[in-house]
Amino acid sequence: MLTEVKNQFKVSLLSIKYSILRSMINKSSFLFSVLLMFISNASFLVQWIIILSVSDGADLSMKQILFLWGIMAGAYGLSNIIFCGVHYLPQYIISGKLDAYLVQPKSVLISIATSQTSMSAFGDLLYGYAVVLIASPSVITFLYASLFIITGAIIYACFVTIMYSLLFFSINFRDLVTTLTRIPTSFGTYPENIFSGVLKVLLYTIFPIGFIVYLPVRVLLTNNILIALIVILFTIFMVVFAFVMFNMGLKRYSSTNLMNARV
Amino acid sequence: MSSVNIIEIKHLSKTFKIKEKEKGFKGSLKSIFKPKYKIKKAVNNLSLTVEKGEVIAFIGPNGAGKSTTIKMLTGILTPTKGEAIVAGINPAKQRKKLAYKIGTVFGQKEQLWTHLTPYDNFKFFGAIYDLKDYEIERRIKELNDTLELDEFINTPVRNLSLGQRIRCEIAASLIHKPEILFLDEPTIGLDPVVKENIRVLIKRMNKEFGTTIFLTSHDVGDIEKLCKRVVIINDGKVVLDDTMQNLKYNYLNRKIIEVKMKEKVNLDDEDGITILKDKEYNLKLSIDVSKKSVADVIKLLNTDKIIDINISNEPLENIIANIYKGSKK
Repeated sequence: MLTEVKNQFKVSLLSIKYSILRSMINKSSFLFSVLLMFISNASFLVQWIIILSVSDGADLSMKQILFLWGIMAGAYGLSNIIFCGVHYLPQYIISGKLDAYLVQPKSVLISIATSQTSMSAFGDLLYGYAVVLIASPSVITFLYASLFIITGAIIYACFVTIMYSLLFFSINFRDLVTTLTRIPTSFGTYPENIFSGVLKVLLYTIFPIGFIVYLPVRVLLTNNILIALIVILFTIFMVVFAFVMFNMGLKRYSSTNLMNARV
Repeated sequence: MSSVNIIEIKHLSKTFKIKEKEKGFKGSLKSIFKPKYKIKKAVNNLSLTVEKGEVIAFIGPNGAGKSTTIKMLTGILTPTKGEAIVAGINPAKQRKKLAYKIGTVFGQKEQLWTHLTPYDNFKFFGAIYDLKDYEIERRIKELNDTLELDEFINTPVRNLSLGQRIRCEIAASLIHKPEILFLDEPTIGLDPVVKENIRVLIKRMNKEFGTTIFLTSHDVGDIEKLCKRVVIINDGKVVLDDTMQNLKYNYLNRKIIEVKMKEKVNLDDEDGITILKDKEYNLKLSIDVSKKSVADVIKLLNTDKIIDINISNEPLENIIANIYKGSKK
């Protein structure tokens, strides 16, 4: 069992390495994408600076906004560096590209997740760390931020996996499911305080933004270890749930004979 | 010498539920609220055994159930009914365990990373099969010698020709020394020279490594040159399971006669003779030798008026096509 996990880990690292190498083939394009993403994210902060300067901002502080953006951008970035392949699941399921992974003695989901990477995601990750450390430049903030960027990346990848696993049951949901996968990034850059009622419940259940960003921000602001523990436990739950859903769907996979290339 | 079955298929079936939609926008709306489904039996109660070291052609027309069967044998698809045991393992239950014992090449689907060189791909595939670094290096050297990859082993896959890519696909699928190699249309889209090279390589693998070869192809050349046994399926059922020798012997009851005459001959279709081509002084006839002998046909043409004659067997392609048609009826 331990050897199996060790071997899977070794292959996953190799897969991530090759995916990153692919994205860096054109160095100038890579650096430009990273820089543009950094600038694009920064422009949203300017928006918040303006909002906070004209409003009372009783429940909001610039520090909270910086943490929010930092964790969200970092988690999104890391998720798209390591697990970007989950976004390709619809294409793999519909065009029969899972075949190549099913004949290999490794986890299909992990192999697919680590088979792709996004160039601009490096910009998100760098930006995430930069913003968090601007808000609170300390070792403890760096450690907490690293923990929550990792848990957030895993939760987000699991959420996308669960959504796309529904396509095994009916490919007609493709557009709907793709829209749903974008919800965490849309809501995750606004503070928790502005949401209430059913919407807030949804953000802590079906769309787990609460666990990706809201609870981590609370930990960064209050240093509450118990909340950190809840986030870690929820991450484990999401991993198990994503694997269960994907494997259930895999049994219904029908493959196709369309021509494909792994590019 | 006793034979060992490496593949045992017992009453294997696979059905697909296919959604049917009426035409037009109205049909699309109707299918949302009142969907209609059709059950398609892709593989229907198929039973078959393959011996260790055999090279078997598993052929049939499009939609016959070949690829579905291969996908069930490799663990990609789960059977609806029945069971398959491949190298002592049930693919539906132990997919990962089976993967160590089989290799697959799907001519229509690539497994290699195109931005990596074949060498890096082999290293990656070696890691997938838990081989140690020195084992991978040794295996790459072996495959390099057998499949002659030296010239392009360090060129990114995206820059290789189709023939070179297929050679690399085959090499990658052999990195872990599989007992069985499943080849689904391995020569699709290749030119005749490259096709021939691939066939030689497949033969060599079977001889040198004792690998069992399970081949599907629409290319009669692949089947004729590689396989000693032919299994034909249609509508998900086995319609013929015989040796290549018997197939040719039993079904070669037609001869093709091509003649060039001094003057035009008026010949009509009659029992046992079918005129395939009649253009000025050239004739092409198909003779059913069970009804008419070749000698009788030549007499009919008048030997004094023949300038040139060529008598050949009916191409294997036609024989297989006739079996397909016969099984449909």
